[in-house]
Amino acid sequence: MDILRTENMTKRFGGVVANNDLSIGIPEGEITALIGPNGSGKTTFINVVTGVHPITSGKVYFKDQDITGMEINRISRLGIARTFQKIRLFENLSVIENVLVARKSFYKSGPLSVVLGTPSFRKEEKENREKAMELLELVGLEDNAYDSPKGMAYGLRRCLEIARALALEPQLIFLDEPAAGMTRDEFKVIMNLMMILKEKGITTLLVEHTMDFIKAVADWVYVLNFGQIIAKGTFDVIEKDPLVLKAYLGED
Amino acid sequence: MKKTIFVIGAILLIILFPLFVKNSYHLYLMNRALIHAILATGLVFLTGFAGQISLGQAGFYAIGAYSSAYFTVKLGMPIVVGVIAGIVISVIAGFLLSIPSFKLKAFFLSLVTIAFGQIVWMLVINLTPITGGPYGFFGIPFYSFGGEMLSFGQVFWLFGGLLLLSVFIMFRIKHSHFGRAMLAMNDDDVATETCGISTKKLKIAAFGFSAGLAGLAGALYAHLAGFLSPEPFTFFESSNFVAMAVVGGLRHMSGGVVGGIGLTLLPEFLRFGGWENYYLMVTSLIVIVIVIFMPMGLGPILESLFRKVFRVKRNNTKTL
Repeated sequence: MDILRTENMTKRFGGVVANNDLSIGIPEGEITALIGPNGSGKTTFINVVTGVHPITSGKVYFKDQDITGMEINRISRLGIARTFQKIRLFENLSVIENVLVARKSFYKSGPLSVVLGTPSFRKEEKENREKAMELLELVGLEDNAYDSPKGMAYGLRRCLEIARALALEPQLIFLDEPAAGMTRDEFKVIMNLMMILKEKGITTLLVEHTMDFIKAVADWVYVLNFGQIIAKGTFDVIEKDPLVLKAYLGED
Repeated sequence: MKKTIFVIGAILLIILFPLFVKNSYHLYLMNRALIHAILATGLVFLTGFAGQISLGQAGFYAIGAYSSAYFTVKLGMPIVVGVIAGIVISVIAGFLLSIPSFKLKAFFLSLVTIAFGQIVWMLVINLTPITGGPYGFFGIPFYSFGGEMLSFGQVFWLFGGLLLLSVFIMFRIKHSHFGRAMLAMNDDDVATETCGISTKKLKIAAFGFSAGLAGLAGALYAHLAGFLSPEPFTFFESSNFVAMAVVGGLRHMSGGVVGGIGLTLLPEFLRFGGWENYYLMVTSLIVIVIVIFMPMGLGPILESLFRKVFRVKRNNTKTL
């Protein structure tokens, strides 16, 4: 069963075809990796599916629901979370507030109960703070909860972005190069996190360049080149595929 | 702890001020300052918190003022109804002005809001049957209670209470899921959307709230002055309002209060012997100096002074 399907998805930027007629399925509950050389359209794929870039043509289905052309916030609320290749945190909010922002759709209190400070709003705020704290513990940031993310180490910022994505309680999560620029220890944290996500039944789509990482975690691999799928299968199969070798290493 | 000291201090100040200041010009001036503080507080919310720009706030100020004047004078309604009508009509205009902000940012959004201010100003001049045009709108009732006209001191209490209420509402909203979402949008709107938040709705709400406060300020002004002419509603006033919010501190809770009161009173302090022709220029110079050397505004500086004096610790569990 595929949790997400694209049908003939095409994305053009002017004359550049970033995604060319892609029909991909992401199997539910597993870790799928999307790899390919620079500029092959991996990030574009995530941006189009999550609604950040408007689609040029084709369709996107999430759990058989057509989500093509939906607003980003609606797609997110359906249960699709993501991180960004270039980390995008809310720099003027504290660490825990960054996570709490993604909890907003779980609040029921309206502006009036907020202004009056009703008990139900206070309870809701407390529950969501606890939930946010749990997520920070999961990624090892509980001691930094009230710090600013501004001066934090790169790996910790990555972890915070993942915690924020998880705060949406997603069914599908897109991780755009989560291991890029990480130290060996940070790398282990992310690797461990991927396993926790899998245990929780959250489907993951991973864009990565680190082959050791993909080999260790991915159940399935799609290989993109010039906006098209050139190979798919398990890592062991992909590794030996002549087309893939050619795309990465060039002719001969 | 810090919060209670602030609130008690503010209430005491508001209660005591008219008991010690008897000069009616000074009281009138302070009332104008409070009106500006209410309006600038709305701008702090819109710009400092939600990250949207409005250089057309005088438009909402005018809508509030003329609506309340029209409802009380032409329709014979009580002042309370007039003021509420002024707020409601302003909020609706604010909702409409938020639409361009879905697509536009920074310079382009400021141009649209300037155009909005100009349109309202032209309507004020040309819709003579409603506004009185350049000749003015006369006979707007002054504040009264039980048939008795209020003194400037009592009006000060009324305005002060409304200002406190506005700041309180803003404080509660800032420290809630709505406020966090707005601050997030101010940092990065795409990332906010991916957190499942509709930035369109937030922009509508932010413009509506700031327009509502500007409308309230306008209505309060109409009944204080008793007479409306187009002069206080020009682009010059809009930019003055922005200066108040910036000087007070765009990202600070007290920014609107400090800036609104500060920039209303400052020119009066500078208006002394032989300098009458230059006081506006000096005011502008002071604004420039503050913006360059204290980009955070005066609000945070006053707060840290206050902390030193009362030895209050920073409560870091709430927000940065």
